[in-house]
Amino acid sequence: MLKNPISFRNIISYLRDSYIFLFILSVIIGIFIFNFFIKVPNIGVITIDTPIMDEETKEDIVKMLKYAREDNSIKAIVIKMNCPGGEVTNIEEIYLEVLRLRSKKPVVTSVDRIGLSGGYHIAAATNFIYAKPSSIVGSIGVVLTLSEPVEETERMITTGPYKRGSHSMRYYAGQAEMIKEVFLDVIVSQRGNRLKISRETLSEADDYLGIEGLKYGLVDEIGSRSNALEKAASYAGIANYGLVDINKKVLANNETNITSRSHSTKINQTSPKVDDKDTMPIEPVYYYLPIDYYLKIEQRKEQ
Amino acid sequence: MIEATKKIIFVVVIVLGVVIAQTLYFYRGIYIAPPTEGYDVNNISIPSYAPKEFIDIHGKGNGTVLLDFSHDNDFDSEELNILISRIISRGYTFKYYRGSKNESENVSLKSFLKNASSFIVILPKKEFEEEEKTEIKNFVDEGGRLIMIADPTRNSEINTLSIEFGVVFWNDYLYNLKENDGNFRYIYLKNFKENTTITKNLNKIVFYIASSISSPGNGIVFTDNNTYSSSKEAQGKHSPVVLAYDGKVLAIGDLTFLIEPYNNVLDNNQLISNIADYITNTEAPLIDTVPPLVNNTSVNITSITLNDSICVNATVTDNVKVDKVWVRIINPNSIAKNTFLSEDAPCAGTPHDNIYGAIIKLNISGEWYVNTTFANDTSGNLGSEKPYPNIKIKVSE
Repeated sequence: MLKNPISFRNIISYLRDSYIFLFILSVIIGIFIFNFFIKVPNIGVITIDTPIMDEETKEDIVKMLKYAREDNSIKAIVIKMNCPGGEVTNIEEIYLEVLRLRSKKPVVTSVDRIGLSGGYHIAAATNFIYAKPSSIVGSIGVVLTLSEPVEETERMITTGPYKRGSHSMRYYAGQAEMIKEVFLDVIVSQRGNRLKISRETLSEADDYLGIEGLKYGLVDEIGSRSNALEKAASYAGIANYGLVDINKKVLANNETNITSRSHSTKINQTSPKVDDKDTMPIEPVYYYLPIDYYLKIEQRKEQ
Repeated sequence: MIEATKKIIFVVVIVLGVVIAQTLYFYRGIYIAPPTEGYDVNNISIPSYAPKEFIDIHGKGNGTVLLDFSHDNDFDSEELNILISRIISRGYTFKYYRGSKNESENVSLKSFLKNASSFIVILPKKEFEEEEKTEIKNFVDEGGRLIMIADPTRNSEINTLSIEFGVVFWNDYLYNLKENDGNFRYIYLKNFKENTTITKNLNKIVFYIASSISSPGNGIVFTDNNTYSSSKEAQGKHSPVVLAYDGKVLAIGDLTFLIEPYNNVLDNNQLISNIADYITNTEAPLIDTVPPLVNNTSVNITSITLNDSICVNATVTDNVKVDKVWVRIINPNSIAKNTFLSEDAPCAGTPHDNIYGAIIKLNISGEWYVNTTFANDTSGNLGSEKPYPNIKIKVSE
């Protein structure tokens, strides 16, 4: 038998008396407490690079916004925007969700190539908008499509003349005008004093380059995504932050963007040309979308 | 004991230190959220669509109106229901020219135009051939009326015909962002050339996506300073309605205003009636509410012997036409009697000088009074001279 054997009890006793050990333990506890209660801050990045035409695409974006709102480690969000817009109620839902998120955490938009119509509508809800000099923003307006009329038959009985949506084009144009006014109100109220362009000029639904957007107050600064991240960080009061790709975190099957799903989704009604003859429509569909993008999407669906 | 306390304090200080250090490393401030407002829709006004009541007052005539259906025209005949019914109510008949399907049929345009007073061409998708253009030009030169209608929402080859008459339909649409009927392309038109059949009684009309028409000096409806053309950069007056070729050719850059319910907006119905009047060369009867003007009631002599006669005159004028004129005379027994005056009475003035007269025999001695002269016009309006002249005539035995 050896003299003075090293026993477990002796090791514990040694460590308990060792300030070095206590120091290391305290640091570990401190790090643990920090990570559990306060958390290393992250900036969440949400990429919207597709038209928002269908329910699924909208739900994906809403899920990502919800994730960003509820994850305590995410202290600020950057929306990477490359979106021409989409169906009006989808855009409005996302807009309201961004506002809700903004009430809790700062949200900064970084416009890549385009932030048009509905895309700009969403960006308007954020704290700050960056764009490149050649990015394209604007197109503040509404596109309305009407379906083919339903033939009158004796076997289809309705209880009111407008059950079949038998309004004139003038009526639907009035409705589109009301939606346009809502859109304009959003831009004017959200941009506030930053806006340097009249409401009437905005209602022309023109597109603007990033540099023009800066001049008219539609864009806050010319800059890259890095600038957007720094801005988001400064709003949140954070430094040395991590990045979270929210698209990867939230969307199933490792889809990093929602483009492919959007292209495969069908719209449930045919949509004639905007300037078609006055017909008796059923379900008008309103879009915050430049007309050429709308037509491209329709062509892609038909292929 | 003291040693244990020392160690606890040591641990707590280190833990706190690590936490604070990390916090300061990662956090430099706090986020202050801006005020958040959702959608404020209280100020969005909902347009109203109450139609304007309209009664079509029209004259009557007879003739035939020819409607072109031989150039693959891009409209449905139902779209013209309102215009067609107005034309028919003016006593005209409607014929459709569909062209010939085989050579044995004598359905040349010339033969149809021979029996027509007006020819309507709407949105032809096929070009007009040289022979057709010549026939239509001859038709117009011989007194026929040509009406051409296009619409920027539908393609057409109307310029292949209109150019013959110095009229060009632009490939544009007119728009106004400041004031419109619910969409920037639904433009108000308030500027009209005076004294034309097409523009009479118009205050404000609406065109629903209209093109401008070029025919220098012949515009009769004009846009305002806030209405622009989609294809012309320069600001200026545009004209979507033109009356060219000595008033024999009418060109209109919109079809939609003719169709329900757009015809019911503002003065569109009046415009359609005016177009029907132009096509049928009829005018609506004037609704006359102005009574005749009667003055200068006079007699040639104020003292006569029993059974002699006096001449009574009065000047009567009317804005339309005088129907009857009469004078009221009160005899010495206070009995009033009316006697008609006429323009061709022996003691009336010269023809068309508005002086009416009558010779009246006075067969009771005493004081007679020519009380006053009355007149009515062809619309039944009654006028008289006021104050009553009450001219005294002394009749002695």
